[in-house]
Amino acid sequence: MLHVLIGEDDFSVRQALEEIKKTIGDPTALMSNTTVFDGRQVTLEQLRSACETVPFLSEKRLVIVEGLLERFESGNRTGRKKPSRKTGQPEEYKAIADGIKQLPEFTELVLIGGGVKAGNPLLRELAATGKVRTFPRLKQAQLSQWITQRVKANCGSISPQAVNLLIRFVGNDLWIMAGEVDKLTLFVGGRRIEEEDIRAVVSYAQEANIFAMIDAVLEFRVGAAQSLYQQLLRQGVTPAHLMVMLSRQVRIIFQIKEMRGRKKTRGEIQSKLGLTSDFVLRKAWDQADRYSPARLREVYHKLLETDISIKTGKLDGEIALNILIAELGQRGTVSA
Amino acid sequence: MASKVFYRKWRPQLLAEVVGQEHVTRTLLNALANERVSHAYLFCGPRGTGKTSTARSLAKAVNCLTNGKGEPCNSCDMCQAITEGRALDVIEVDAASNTGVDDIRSLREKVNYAPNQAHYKVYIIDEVHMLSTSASNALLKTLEEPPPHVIFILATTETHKILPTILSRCQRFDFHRLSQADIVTKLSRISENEGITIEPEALKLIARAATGSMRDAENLLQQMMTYYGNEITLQQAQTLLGYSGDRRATDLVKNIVNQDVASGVSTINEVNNDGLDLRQFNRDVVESLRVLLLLKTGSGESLELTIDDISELKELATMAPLTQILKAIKQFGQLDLGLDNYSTLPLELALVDGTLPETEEKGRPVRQPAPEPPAKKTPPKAAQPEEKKATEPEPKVEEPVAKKEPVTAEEPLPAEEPEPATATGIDTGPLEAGGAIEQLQTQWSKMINEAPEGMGKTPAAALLRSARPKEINDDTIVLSFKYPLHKENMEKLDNQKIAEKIVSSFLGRSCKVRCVYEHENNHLVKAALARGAQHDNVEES
Repeated sequence: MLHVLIGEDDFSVRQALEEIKKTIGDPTALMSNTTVFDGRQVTLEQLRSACETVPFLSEKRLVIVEGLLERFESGNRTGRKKPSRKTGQPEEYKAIADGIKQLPEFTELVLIGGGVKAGNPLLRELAATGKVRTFPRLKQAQLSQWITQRVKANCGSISPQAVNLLIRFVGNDLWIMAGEVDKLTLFVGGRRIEEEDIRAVVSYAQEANIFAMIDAVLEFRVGAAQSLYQQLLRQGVTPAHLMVMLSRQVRIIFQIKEMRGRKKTRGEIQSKLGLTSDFVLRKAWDQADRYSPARLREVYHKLLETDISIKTGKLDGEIALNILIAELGQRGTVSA
Repeated sequence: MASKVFYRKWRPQLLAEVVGQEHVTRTLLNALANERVSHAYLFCGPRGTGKTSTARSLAKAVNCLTNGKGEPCNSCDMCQAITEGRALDVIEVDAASNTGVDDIRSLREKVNYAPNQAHYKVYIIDEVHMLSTSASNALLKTLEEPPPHVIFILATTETHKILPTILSRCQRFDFHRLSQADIVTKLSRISENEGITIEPEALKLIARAATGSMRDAENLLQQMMTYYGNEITLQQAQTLLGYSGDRRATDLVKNIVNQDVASGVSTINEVNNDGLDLRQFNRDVVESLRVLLLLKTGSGESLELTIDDISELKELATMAPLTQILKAIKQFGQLDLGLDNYSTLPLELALVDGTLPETEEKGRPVRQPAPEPPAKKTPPKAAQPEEKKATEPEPKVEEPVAKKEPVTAEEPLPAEEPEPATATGIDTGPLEAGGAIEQLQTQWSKMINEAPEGMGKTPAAALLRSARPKEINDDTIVLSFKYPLHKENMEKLDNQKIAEKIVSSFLGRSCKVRCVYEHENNHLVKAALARGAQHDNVEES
């Protein structure tokens, strides 16, 4: 039996694989009857011999191949540049497909792939033979559904606001999300998960705090910025890290402003800036609307000045940031 | 007599004993109670916050023979073996010294074997951020699907150095810096058990000095015990920790706020005469100023201060303008008392700088966006004449500059002299190489005076005055400076840009500016002087 599991949602792919393993039978017996191949290197002969070996003390054999489909991905130009004999030849997929079609009864073959397009020649060839399941990245609505389900599976409950906050902090990487949800249900120990629990436990909440501080700095709210700064220090964030985050954020805002001026779409900007977290992008997107280039430039110059004074040992990092925050706010009170 | 250091002797043996990390310990205890312990944990946080202690307690908790569903009992064989570090199934790996991919490969091979005695094999990988990229990747596969009898606990101080794929496969816990109150509680428990009598204020001071790290705090306490014996006073703690604890630090801050230089100087000298370490004193002053700054900006409640500390400073905060506090904090913060421990001069200078110029500063328009340093270094006299309208150039400035290069002063194009301020369209188009440089030299000051709107008063313009155009190469104008300081300031990006704009608008084409430093003693100047040329000091004054 052939299973094809593809999609960018790696977590669900693995879960599906676990399910397949469970249907096959006893896990200890399966251990000696499992072969895992790296699809970028495996040859047809290796694959065939693994598939055609009769299972030992078990009814089934499990063969897992990761990344075989990607070998024949047409858009995969970067991979082709390296002249490797292992990369897919157009004729090769036919041979592999034929080999797979003659799969013996006792073998369960699982092909796992990441970003595989529907036009993949091997996939088209195999679509009729096996069971193909795709796992695309979850969208907002599906994601909140997924979270609620996972919480329920852990015998807990969660408020809708908390779900939204969680999505904002974590994004759509289900690996991280699964870890955070498990942690949260254990933390609350039976009661409903609320927003403050998320702020207290979720690791990425700290990052959100950093953004709140940056916001406060840019918006001339000195008092709020200073207390957030103290709070972050207590949570173990170093001044150097904050400096980097501040300048990074200002840079991102600048870049977004500029690219929007050149009529780039949101998606283009996101990939260009390499921002995986939707949260960061959205935040910067809003900020780009709100702050004038002059203000940003001012902040940038001040950042540079502070950085120099820290790195030349003129000022201690903690105090330098205190000064920076106060100065940025203070100019605001004059010019705003 | 115990020979173990405090932080090892008093290392928490139960999860509940780990101070200040309730969000972590509570989650872990719940996980143990529900038998839902994850197979991979990542503990991150600053040093001395309990990462390794928690990891060891967790290792005991999952393997404890008597309980196994909550806190470790610390009395069964397994717990004791783990505490003593002789348990075969709890493997502590120091990733800082086993960074290579081979180390991880050998670990991976051993992972598959069942534990010897315990329920779980626990791998505690400390300093995991030190693993090389390939080693991290090798670990990743195991981390993703470890055998059922294995628990990984990774600990690190630097989360951002860890591969995101590793991060996502672990349940991550962030350890926070400890609050002073937490540290004080733990320290007083230790000192009670160790038979140390210590003033509560001294404990607070230790907690403050430890900046949230319990290990640092415990070490400090032990240091004091070995040094002073079993009775520790506040004063001893202050001496050892380098806090002068002197009221006069606050007094000086008061003097700064009141702009009372005379009393300030006498305060400093009093402190010096009493033989206090001036560096410590300065640190105290900066700290008080910082508190003042925070109070002023309305975030005082985020500080861990006692009420009597605050009331006085709060009063000061309402009196002092923010600019002044900032100025003072910069002056004192940047102070380098260096090796000369007994000179009060740097402190006094900082005091004067931090108080007096405030009055001058007020006159200066705040909207000026240029960074401060160049503005400060620009000689005030040179900047003064520019304040006047650019349309009526100061004759005083004009003349000496024209005289400046008497060797070439043949006034090549006098026709252009009387042109008024419409500088942009001026017919200087034919300015090509050769004679262009002389022309530019004679009209240098006119060019600055006729600078485009808003640029005449910038530091860049002032710097241009002190420069001399040396030569023109295509689009680049070489400026020669007499002082390296001026040159450096001009080379700052925004100054250079403004200068280029001024020059370009005068010449009617876009030009770049390059700066060189030429000492006055170069042979040309000497030769010129020998032929009777005279210095004019307008630029340097």
